[in-house]
Amino acid sequence: MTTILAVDGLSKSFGGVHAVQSVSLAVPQGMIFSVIGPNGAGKTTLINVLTGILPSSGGTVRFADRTITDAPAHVIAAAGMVRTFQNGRLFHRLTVIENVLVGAHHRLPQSVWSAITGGVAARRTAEIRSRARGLLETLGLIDDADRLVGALPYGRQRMVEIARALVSEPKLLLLDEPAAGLNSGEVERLREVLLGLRRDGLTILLVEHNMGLVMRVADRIAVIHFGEKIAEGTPAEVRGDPKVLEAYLGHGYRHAGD
Amino acid sequence: MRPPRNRLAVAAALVAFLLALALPAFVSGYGIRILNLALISAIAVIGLNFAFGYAGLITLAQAGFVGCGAYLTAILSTTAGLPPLLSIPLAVVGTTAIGAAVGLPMLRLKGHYLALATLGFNVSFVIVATNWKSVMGGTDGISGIPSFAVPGFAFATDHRYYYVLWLALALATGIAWRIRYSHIGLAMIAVRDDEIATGAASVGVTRIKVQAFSLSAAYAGLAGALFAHMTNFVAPDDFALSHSIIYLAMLIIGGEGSILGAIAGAVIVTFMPELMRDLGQAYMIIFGSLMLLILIFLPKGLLSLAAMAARRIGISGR
Repeated sequence: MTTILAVDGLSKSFGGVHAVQSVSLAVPQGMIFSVIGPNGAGKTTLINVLTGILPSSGGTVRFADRTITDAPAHVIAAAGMVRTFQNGRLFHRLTVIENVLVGAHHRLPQSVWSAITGGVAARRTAEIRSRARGLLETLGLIDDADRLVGALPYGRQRMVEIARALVSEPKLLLLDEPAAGLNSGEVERLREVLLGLRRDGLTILLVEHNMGLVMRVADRIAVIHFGEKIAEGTPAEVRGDPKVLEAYLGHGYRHAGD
Repeated sequence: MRPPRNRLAVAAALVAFLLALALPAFVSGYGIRILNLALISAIAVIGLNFAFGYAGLITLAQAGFVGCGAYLTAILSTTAGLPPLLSIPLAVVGTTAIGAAVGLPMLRLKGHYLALATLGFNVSFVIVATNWKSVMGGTDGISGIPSFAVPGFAFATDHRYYYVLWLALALATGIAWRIRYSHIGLAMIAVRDDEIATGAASVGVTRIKVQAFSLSAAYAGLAGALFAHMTNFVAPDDFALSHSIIYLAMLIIGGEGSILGAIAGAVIVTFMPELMRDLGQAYMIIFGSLMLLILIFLPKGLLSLAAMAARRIGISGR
């Protein structure tokens, strides 16, 4: 199976704090690859470095046979690796559909002139708009399309972010704790959405705290602890790994239940 | 493809624009000059709305760019002898280029730092205009600028020129509207709402900021060029920093982030000193208090009053 994202020895330090230490990952195409770890393990920092939000301190990132280490965020997004944010980051002065449209910006001519004259820009915008409406339909947001995004409940706002990420037809979707703050019904909906996306051939890198969700959807899991990768394998392998149990439950977990 | 909530605003704007065509018939000499100044300011403030209202760039350079447009067309139509029909578009292109050249390094700065840098640009413009006597005429400015004319017809009076300005404002509004609802406009608004998320959504943030800033300069250039052919004379004082602050006040009073708000603010703030002429200098107290009240109670400007009224009588599009 081909590797779509290859992370090699990636590091990130803030002063003396090594948030990510020489992490290597190989994400195979078409899989749901999950990164888990206790709070403060460096998962979000890892995503931020991968997507160009933070500069790396060492190592390389190759995506779809292109080295993208420390490329600007919009270049990485245009290359087909898009993300969502941990606490949801939306554009509150825009409607739901407008939020989604911003995600396809790189598919359109970049000059102001193109926006004034219409032509190619107008035609492509119409195509993108119909794709955006299709996504909103799939994600159960179509009735909210013309509402300001801030008027939506939190769970739906998270779905708008996923729609914004998907509208540009990415090759890899990075989700930073998409289940955080969702109720159980919404998590179930999210699980269906993720499995549906994988069925359509999308690769997903899922950073998540909700173990129930991860164990049910992930094909492969990497565990990060204090900025280092301490384990990787199938859900079953990771679940039984003593180092993982120790990271989550602390030293001496074996006796905890006794 | 606009959201339904805007239909009412569009209809109201169209009616207002058409009614405005009849205005010169009811307004006498001095009034029409003020009206013309209001239309010119409206163009500059619609421009400012791209940078400040949409992209959130705090810029205090708008009057400087208005000055660039005014001086460019003044020089082109006097020294170079070009007809205004040619010198005005050239002045707009030139001002846009200056905006892009100035914006490219400046837009690495944020918030207060950007405000200070743009303030520096405006102050520098006035200093250059005051001291570069050979080209810009120094404190004497440039006089003898021809009135606007098309082959066979001169718009030499303020009443005639009103229609030129009306058409320019209508075009400027239409283009601004188009940009607002295009991907470029959405990206500008997104940049102010969340810069990091905008970058992650594949938008080149620096590029969008430079585009917003250059557009703002382009509109200022048009306003300045139109101004020069109305007054037939330009001098540095008309483009001082205080004018930049007034443009900003117009946008905030009318409603930042809204094209109609920009126009409303420009018209209201231009006419306010005239309506309160009997108050003399005390007018500034009223103006200051009004500004304060709006900032506290109507952060979205006077236009939000209209929206509230529309909701109250149940004709809002939503």
